[in-house]
Amino acid sequence: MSVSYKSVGWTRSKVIYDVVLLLGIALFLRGFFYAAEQLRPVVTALDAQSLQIRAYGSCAFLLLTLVLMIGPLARLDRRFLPLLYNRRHFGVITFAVAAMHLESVLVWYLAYSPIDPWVALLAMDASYGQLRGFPFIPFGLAAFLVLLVLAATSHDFWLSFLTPPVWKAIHMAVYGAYGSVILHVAFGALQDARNPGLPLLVIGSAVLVCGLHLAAAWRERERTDASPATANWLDAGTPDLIPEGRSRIVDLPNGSRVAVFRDNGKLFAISNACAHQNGPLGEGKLVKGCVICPWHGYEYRLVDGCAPAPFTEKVRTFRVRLDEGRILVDPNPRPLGEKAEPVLLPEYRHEQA
Amino acid sequence: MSKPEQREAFFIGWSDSIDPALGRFLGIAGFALLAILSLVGLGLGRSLDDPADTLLKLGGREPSGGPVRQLEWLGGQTFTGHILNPGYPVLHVAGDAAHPTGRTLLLSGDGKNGPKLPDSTGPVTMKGGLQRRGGLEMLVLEEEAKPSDGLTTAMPSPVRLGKWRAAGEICDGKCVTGAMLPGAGLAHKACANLCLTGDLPAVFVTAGAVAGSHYLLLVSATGGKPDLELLRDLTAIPVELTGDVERVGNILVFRTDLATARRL
Repeated sequence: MSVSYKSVGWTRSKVIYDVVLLLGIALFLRGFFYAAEQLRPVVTALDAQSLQIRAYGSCAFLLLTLVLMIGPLARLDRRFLPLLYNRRHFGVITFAVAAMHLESVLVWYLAYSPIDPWVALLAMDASYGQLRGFPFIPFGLAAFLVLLVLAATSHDFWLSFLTPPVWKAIHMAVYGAYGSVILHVAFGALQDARNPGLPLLVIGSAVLVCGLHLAAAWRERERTDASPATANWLDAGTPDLIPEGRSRIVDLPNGSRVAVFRDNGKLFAISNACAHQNGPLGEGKLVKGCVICPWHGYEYRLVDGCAPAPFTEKVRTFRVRLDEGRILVDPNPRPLGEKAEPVLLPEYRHEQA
Repeated sequence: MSKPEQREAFFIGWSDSIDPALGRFLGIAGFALLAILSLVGLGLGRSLDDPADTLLKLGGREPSGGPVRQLEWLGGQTFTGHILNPGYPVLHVAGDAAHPTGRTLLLSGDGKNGPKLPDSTGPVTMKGGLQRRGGLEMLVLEEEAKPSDGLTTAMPSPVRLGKWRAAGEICDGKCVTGAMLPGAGLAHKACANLCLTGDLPAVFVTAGAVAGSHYLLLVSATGGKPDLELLRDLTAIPVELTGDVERVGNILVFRTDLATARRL
């Protein structure tokens, strides 16, 4: 947790996360080079530079696939949430590997000529009028530029400077980058592939990423109340639908969401989007009247949506009432920092009395 | 009312403590990640395509071999002969036991540049490294060609071998003879076009043999360099070309109008 954009700093979890990730990349590359150079007939070996281009490119693709799998995996099984905590490091490292791929192309395929490699990158493969042989390099370059922007704005400073909604919207471009990478490979290496390895990786990865997102969306839909409106207030169902310490998420007419929490017999309604990176507060844990965001540990008091001092983040709260045994939520948020009185469930009233 | 406390493993990133059960799960996930990355790396490296092969199995290895590996380049060799120009400049040297009709070498300068040749006519001496694919050889000049005196090598007369239609891939003569492995295919297209822009010779690698070879010097129908814009559109994809084939020394030259090329 932080005050403004000051970073959390290194923790044991972050160190382990990065070590495992870097070790995984080293093992991938070691395995790739070993198999290519030692497990194949020597006369079929590629030159060292072409080998690097393929190794770094496929590694970056695989890492990007894994990055995109973390979000839906965490939605489907909360035990994957720790992988999400340090996802920005994963993204920056993925960008670094993609940069190694680009650099290998520039200093080999596009070097040794009077023409500048950056000019050659776009000028030497420009047959846009044909499907077979349609230039694949621009797709790769577009994806690289998106990853560059994402990596450059990964620091909390940019999160604070751009504001979380803008920052999050920019970082959603990673899906566009992934699509662009798929096209880069589909119009390039896949066109000439004779062995099944690369096609299997690319098609399998795309199917896996899409499948996980669809499964997570389906789970999300099951969790979210359809929230019919009753005289402008939204129906969040009956209290027994919300276990103690948990929440039920309700869709607002404007597209945002409210998490209705049950804590010690009281019902609170708070914005489902964390002020940090729009993390799903409704999936967070309750500790001493505060909800802890499952993504990065930001905390907010249920009663007023404020982070405990010395922290300054705030999220909106909403009024709640019970009507004939059903929970109703006012879709109009309270002003930031203002209390929204909770509703005490009838079965707890005698305990309080 | 009873309020059972549900114990749940919940990770808090900024905290150094972690629930043991969650720690075990993450440990297993970490090892699984390492195993997957290792195995995928091994699998992809193992299943790389043979650089001597291409999409249409163009120029699958012949008895004379695929591309000569760079480590086997025969550098520092000196040849004396005549420069011919069947579309691109080539060096024709006297025959020997292995090359009874003489030896005709494609020429390249450093990197993706054509050779620097003397303005004078007559015999020249060239020093450089040799690379080879099939029966096609290229001399990569290490220094400028020098005029040479006293050579009496006979100049070969072109032998017409008729009109041919062939499917194949247009490559640059330097990479396809072994400067790069692979030196063909779409991934290599920009590199091939950069070579061709630098005046390196175009080579047509055919799926089936044409007059006994899969590797033919590609020139325009009138015997000059092919149109560069058309050429760059047609590299690295399967195409069908129709044209006249002639033997010059010990290489084959394919004369074609690229405007009539058919994409396959």
